[in-house]
Amino acid sequence: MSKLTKTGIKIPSLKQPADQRPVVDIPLPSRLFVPLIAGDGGACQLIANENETVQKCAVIATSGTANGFVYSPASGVLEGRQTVFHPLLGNVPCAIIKCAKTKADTRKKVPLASLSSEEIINLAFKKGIIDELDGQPLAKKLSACRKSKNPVLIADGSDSEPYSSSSWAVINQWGGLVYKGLKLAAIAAGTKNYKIGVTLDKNRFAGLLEKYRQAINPSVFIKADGKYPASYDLGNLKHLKKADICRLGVQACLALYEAVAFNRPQIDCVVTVTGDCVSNPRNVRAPFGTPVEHLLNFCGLSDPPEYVIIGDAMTGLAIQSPDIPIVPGITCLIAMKNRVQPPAHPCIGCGRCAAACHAKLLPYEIMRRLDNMQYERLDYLLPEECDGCGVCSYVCPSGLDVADKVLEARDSLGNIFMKWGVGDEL
Amino acid sequence: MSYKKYKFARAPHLRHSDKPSTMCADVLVALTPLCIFSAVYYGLRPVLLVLTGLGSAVLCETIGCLIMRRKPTVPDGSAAVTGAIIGLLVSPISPYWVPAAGAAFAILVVKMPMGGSGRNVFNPAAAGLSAVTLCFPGFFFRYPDPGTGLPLPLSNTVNVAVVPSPASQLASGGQTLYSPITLLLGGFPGPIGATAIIILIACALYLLIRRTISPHITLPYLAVCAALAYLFPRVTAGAAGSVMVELCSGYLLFCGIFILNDPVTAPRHWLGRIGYGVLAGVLVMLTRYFGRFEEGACFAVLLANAFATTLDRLGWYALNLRRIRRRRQS
Repeated sequence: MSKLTKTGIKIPSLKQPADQRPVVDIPLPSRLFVPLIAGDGGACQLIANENETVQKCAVIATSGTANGFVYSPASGVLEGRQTVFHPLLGNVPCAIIKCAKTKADTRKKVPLASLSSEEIINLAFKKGIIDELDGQPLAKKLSACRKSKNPVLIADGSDSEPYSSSSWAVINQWGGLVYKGLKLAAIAAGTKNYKIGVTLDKNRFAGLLEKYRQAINPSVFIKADGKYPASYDLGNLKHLKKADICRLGVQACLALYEAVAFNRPQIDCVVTVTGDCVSNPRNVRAPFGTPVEHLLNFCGLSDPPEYVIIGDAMTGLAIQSPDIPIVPGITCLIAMKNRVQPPAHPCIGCGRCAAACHAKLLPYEIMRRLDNMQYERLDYLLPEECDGCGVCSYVCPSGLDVADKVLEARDSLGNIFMKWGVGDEL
Repeated sequence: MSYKKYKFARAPHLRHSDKPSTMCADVLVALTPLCIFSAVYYGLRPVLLVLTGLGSAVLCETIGCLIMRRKPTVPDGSAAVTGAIIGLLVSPISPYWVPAAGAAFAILVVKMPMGGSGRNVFNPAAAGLSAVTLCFPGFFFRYPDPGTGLPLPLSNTVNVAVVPSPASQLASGGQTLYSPITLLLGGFPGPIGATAIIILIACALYLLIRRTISPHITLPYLAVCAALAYLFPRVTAGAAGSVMVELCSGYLLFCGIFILNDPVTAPRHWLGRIGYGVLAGVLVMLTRYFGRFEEGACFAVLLANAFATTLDRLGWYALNLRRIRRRRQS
């Protein structure tokens, strides 16, 4: 839950030409590496046997709880299990599925019953729907929304980071379904306030309203201010300023609709494949477990990349192995030849990090106290309120990794030292 | 699965194009018209004085880096800015060694022993200027008449008639000799780069637009100086006239634009910056009213520098007290 704040910085958009192109389904790779982690975060055990043929959307592993299932993203043969290091998940056991050629995806619509809030939340758990914005289970977020006094759901299609356009691509292609999913999420959260946020110029925004004139109430759309991290131009919706804002991913909304309407688990995601080494940047829909290299090869490489980043340029992780599988929460894949890394210079005290910080922290002071080992005095600077957006590092003219230091203070290492430092007489 | 094909890097993978050298280049660009303006009145001598200060600062920084066995920090431009500021705040008839000595003191005594670029507590330019003002007061506050139209000789010592500056008239009290228009157009005696008031205002706007300086420091500083000049006029021209003369005389305005906004020695938080501007304004006026010299802005800046870190923290704590309390309770 958060309040809307009007802060953030303008970052030049690098979304073109991917954002102009429709989403395409990627051909299946030879093998998928499906992490054996259920939608509720529990570790799962395979229930299918080795060399057994599995069908698409079939349950292949379970955590033993009522809602902990892992689904097969494609039909094929389960070859076995292997532990893989994934930068987002750590060492994670994966099921290896040798994909078989299948016909086009046919979805059987199930009659839409009027579901209660609990039923929708349970379904979201059961179908393993993960919100791509923060990697949290959608059901957990909706449960938290339900407990707040005045929740407002925003399907965040703003794509505020510089490269990613996957949310916009989903809204552009399946906006009507996203809207239906958002309405279901609103029922689950017990609110009637829900919006779809987009970052578009005037003409494209008018085009979007025209396109969905029949399907979506135009007042549902709100414009983000084009800054990073996203905030929204609330216009006459000033009463929402005091509301508890719950941002949902548009892909999670789409998955929720598909779970209710087609009884389909979340088995794929839309990923923006882009970067200066990609010859044909575009948004592709890939099943979970697809190796990163398969996506890059599908979009074509003009040069062999030196850096491959999962996530966007501001917060993404540079991976070193090309076999890292796509998992829920990845919306962008960047292949870079050159990466700007200015030589680090001592902090010149320009204060831009503090001015840009949307959590209203003092990043330079946190960094200074960490460097000077004044751990006991870090506590007062509230480093735990940092969400790791990376803006402080981006604006730093000295090229310092400010965000890294703040995160270090926020995370366990900082806490250990803080406890150690309290009352220390030395 | 485990082989490494790509390089590792930390987020963010994009950076803003601004660098410390960009900010220093902005300041040097803004200082150039002031130098040219002075050359129009006094010939090439002021330009040579500024270049002497600049060259001395760069040379001393190079020597300092060599002694400390550090990578040269000259390319970031901070030494050049320090030297140029000292050069611009001396009299057009100063000997050449005066800005050179000031710049050497600034770099070798104030900046490098503290750790070099980005680590100094006190503003090197203000410290260098204070040092030479205290050590060689005879070479300061003696200004030639800009109205003669004759270029000054380029020799080390110059024997020309000196005229009282507006700052000295303020110090002695009574009627000021210069009209507001003359003050704005810069046709009055004063330091090389501090008399062109309209150009200084244009420079301030340029630097504000480029976000190199902060309005949170300059505006409160000027507001406090103006308020004190209004409340306690030192001339018979009335309160409004007093404000005009106080702001345009000496290097009060120059200091508010170029020296106080040195990011290394100023607070970073906006509220701390406002407090810093107010404090500097009060101190500048106090040194003017009760100081030994007609202009004491450089001493006032050094005093304000000492409080910069405290003001910075106080500003942030004042705004976040409730958050901190909530956190401590939880």
